Amino acid sequence: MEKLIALIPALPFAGFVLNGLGFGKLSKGIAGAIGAIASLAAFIVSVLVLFQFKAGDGQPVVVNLWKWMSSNSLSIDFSFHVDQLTLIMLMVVTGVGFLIHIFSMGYMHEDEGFGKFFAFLNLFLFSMLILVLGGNLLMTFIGWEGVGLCSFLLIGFWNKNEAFNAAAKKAFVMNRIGDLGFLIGIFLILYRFGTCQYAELTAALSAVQTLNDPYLVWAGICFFIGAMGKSAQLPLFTWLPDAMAGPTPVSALIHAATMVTSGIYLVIRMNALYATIPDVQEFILWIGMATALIGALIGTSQNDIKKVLAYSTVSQLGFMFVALGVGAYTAALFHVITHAFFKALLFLGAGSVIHGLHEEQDIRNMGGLKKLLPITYITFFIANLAIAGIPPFSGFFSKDEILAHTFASNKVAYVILAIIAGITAFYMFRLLFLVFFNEYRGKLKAEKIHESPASMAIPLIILAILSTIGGFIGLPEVFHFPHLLGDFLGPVLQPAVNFSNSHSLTHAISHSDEWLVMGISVVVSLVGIGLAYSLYISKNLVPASEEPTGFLHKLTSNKFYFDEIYDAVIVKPINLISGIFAILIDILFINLFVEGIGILTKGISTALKSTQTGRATGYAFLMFCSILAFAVFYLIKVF
Amino acid sequence: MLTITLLSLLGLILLFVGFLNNIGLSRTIAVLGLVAGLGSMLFLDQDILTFSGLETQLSFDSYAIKFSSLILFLSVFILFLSGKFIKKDYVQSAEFLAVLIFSLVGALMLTSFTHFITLFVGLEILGISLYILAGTDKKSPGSNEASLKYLLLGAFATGIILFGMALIYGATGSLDFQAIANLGQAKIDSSLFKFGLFFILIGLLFKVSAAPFHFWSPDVYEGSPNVVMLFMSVVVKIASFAAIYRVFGNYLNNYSFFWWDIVYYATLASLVIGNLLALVQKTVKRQLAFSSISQTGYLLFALLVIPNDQTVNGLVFYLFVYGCAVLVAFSVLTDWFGTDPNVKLDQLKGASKSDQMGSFALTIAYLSMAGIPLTGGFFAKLFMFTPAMESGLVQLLIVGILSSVVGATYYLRPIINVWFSSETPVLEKGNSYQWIAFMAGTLLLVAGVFPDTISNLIALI
Amino acid sequence: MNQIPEIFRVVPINHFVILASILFSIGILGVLTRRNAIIIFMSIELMLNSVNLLFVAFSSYKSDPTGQVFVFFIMAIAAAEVAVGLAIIVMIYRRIRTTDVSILNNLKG
Repeated sequence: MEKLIALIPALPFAGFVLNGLGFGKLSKGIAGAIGAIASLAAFIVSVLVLFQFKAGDGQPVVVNLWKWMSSNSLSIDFSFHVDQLTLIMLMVVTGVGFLIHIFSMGYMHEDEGFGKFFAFLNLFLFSMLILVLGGNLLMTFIGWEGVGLCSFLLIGFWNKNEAFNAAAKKAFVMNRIGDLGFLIGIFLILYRFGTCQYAELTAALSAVQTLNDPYLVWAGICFFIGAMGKSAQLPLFTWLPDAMAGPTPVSALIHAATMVTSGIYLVIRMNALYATIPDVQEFILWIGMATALIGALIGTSQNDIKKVLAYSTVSQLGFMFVALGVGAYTAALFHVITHAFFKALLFLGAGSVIHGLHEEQDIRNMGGLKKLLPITYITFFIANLAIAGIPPFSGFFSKDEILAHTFASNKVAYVILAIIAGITAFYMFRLLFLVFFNEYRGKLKAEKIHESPASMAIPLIILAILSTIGGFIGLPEVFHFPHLLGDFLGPVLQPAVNFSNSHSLTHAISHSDEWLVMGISVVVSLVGIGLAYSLYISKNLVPASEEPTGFLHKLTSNKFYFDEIYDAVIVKPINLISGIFAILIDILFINLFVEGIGILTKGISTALKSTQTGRATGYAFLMFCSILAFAVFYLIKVF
Repeated sequence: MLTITLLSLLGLILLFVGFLNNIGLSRTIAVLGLVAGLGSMLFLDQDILTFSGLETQLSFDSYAIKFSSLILFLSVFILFLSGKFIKKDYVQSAEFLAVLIFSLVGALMLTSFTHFITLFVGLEILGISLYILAGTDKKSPGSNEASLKYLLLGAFATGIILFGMALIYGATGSLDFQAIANLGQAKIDSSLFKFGLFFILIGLLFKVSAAPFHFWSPDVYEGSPNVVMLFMSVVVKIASFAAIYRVFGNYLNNYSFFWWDIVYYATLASLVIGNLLALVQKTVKRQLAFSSISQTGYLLFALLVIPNDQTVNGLVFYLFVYGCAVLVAFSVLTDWFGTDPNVKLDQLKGASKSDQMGSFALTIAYLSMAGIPLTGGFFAKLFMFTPAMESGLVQLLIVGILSSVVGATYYLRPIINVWFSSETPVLEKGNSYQWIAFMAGTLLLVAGVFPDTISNLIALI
Repeated sequence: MNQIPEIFRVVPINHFVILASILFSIGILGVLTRRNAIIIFMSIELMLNSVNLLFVAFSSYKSDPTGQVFVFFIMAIAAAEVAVGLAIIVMIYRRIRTTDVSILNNLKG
């Protein structure tokens, strides 16, 4: 089993080496096959490991490959740690990863950098596997940096123009800010416990008796900052929508299914830590809530198909962090899984649409595609039902579990979250209706629009099936079926359960409350869908295009009496709020925060640059001044 | 002592071999001599190497051997890389090689001194040779300018160090480091001693080009011929750190109360100034020069923590990794642009199209300098950060990590240029040094994946 | 080492220290204010010579020869430095026909 585990990351790495050394020389078929086979093999090995693990005693398996570094006080091994959490992440990463490799073979077929693309994709998979397999914080950090680097490489994949796209750079810098937090967190943990091996760390953390120990609070905050950067939480989320500049399969794999969920993985991995610091959990709850809200609101007014999905990802990640904030780790991981299915499906569907329409991304120029792209339409519809939370699709169960746990611990948070769920249903169905219903609004001739080839359609179908049935691994208590995921994960979350303060994970609320929560979430989703239906199907509304007169014209020519009321009460406020948020975020975080720091450093650098005058005597003088300054300081200190 | 004698003789021989006007032969002799020196350093008994007469001493203890071997090891490759430069018709190849070897004598003395005189002589042998080396590209105005600036400012710093030595001599009556390391309270309290310590520290900080005494280094680095800049940022950096750590980490650590704060602020200043100025540079060499200042900042961490073998090994590991990274960068640059001393960052654009192996090696080198995991640079930084954490220097640690974030942004620029550009650059079609890039790049990866093996090796020496 | 110190010890040691410090400061000022490379160089030599004076004085006061040995090393190396330095200055003079260092500022920023 040890060898099998070590094989999992080695396979995509071998794919990377083969494609990396041979790209430009290998034919596209071979390059794609290498990439896909590497990920498939990793998936198969992961499944084998899963079966062997289930046959075992359920204890974590630690594989020490070699001694990595040692110093006086600490020694760190290059090791893998396989437990229930790792296995679930492995299945998601390799499984969805494989499907997306297949999809890419069709999607990227025309691209000249085909081999390079698959090399990067395999490198990403390798880093992601290191991240989830890592046996200590440092290993996880290495994967963490690796996925950031690959995401940067892949976002910038298409940008060969002179000014290198700011998106890739922004993604990298924001991720680095997060990494900074992570690294400081590691140092704090090392300083406090002298180890960063998960197995030892869990034991050490379980022994902590005091709540909110300042060291641990800081460590928790630092790890969460890392998670914020990687998982696009407020205020470090603006890179994710910009990252949509990359190829669509990349958005599906990295920016929806896997990399962005590594923040959640980290927090679940450190659940023993977070159980002792409820204050930080509270903080996570509200950050997640704010992110979910803002992402959803901005999502309602976007007109780029990928941007809508990106903001929806931001919002869904917020949901997961809310779950982490209330201590519902199982629910968070459950949502990670279902989200990986339906969001990958949505992105691939969007990719299929973009491919079929020859690189058109603006939903105002779509519409009526359900007859032209039937497979894409059906699968996209299923994904929409899943994300909107309509039973029995997968998203319903995971979202419901998050809502139920939130209901149990914080009623205010629950109300806001339920409203966000409604907004989610609204904007997702807005997208669906605008893209697939009514008449086609674009300029392409109908015969030029084509359904995607089999290599793209098959992953869509598989993901659609998973999005449909994926929810049954975690049925709510009231159905009296076992919560498969919860039972499986139990041992990993033991420390959090043991800790007196945290909520019991399985019996959080009574049955009647659970029915209530489920009912409310279905109703809220239906309201959202109904609203989208009435606006975009019944009234055939199209978002304001370049000429607002057309929009007004449509509005007034409509027969419904409620038009104006709809418009005044719902459309305008939503657009207004969403617009305000978009602008606020833009000004506050992009202009002030990111660019401000950029301008500040540039300014200081330029000022410092002027000290390098190039004159030798000038340098001597500056050095003399430095000596004087140090001398004054020295005199005060020493004498 | 044996190695030093060997190298001095080698220098003299090279001067005579110069009469034959056979550059290939001269270089072969130089390389063989260096390998012999390295062998004598690693495998001979330490007593043979140690020289004692009067009070002036060189002691090749394990500390000295670690640094010296590293210097000789990396110098071999620098000698190979110098090929393209010394084949220019107006460069005196024999003198160039001889002076390079002589400067190594100085560098070895800087790793092994136990006495003020040997420290001073080592500094000057290295320094004077470097003034010459910086100016060897006689036809380039930049090289002339670099040489003069280095001379004037270097001699200025030497004056300051000497003044400090004289004051310490006045306070203690001794010039032997061992004697000065254990002084009575009365002598420590004398103001002559305190000022002496201060001036020596300032002078050595100048030599390692720590901010705010760094002003000379970017100009000198930029103006010097490429191979000389490589030599300065690798060998000279190792030698001067060996010297400053030997003085303040080994001998004068008892007096850290006096000097600790100055080093602390110099570290902070180096990290901040080096990284911020590297952000706005346009040429490859100048960017590397400022990055070298920021690397000085990380290396100075070693002086701030409790000194032990671990710290020394971390220092050697860092210098090894950094040296390899710079070596890769320069061998790739030499392959691509020959001896052109002013390669702009923009000239790298699209280079991956004509040389993928080189681009790959360059990427690894820059990633390592940025401290990205699975390259040696990550562990080099980690080995510097861990003792700092154990000593509780939290603010310093945060500044260090923060500046590595800033660093990552400018180290990415060459990588972006190489891989993501539609332009097709004009590159010389020479792969003569690809093997160096390949080998040093492999070492960087090995140091990133098996850092413990490398640090065990270092500890073994 | 018995005869020389007598003569030196007529002057208190502090006077030597102060004189050397003054010479050293003059040297530094020369480096900072002069623009002619040769004069800067002479100022540096002045700095080194003040150090020599200090060493010799301390050496005699302590009846310890090491300081004087050091002085010989300093003198020898200063000579080497001058040889190299003048060569460099000549090289530059040939190119730009001046020894004014403030003209040499092509490398900057």
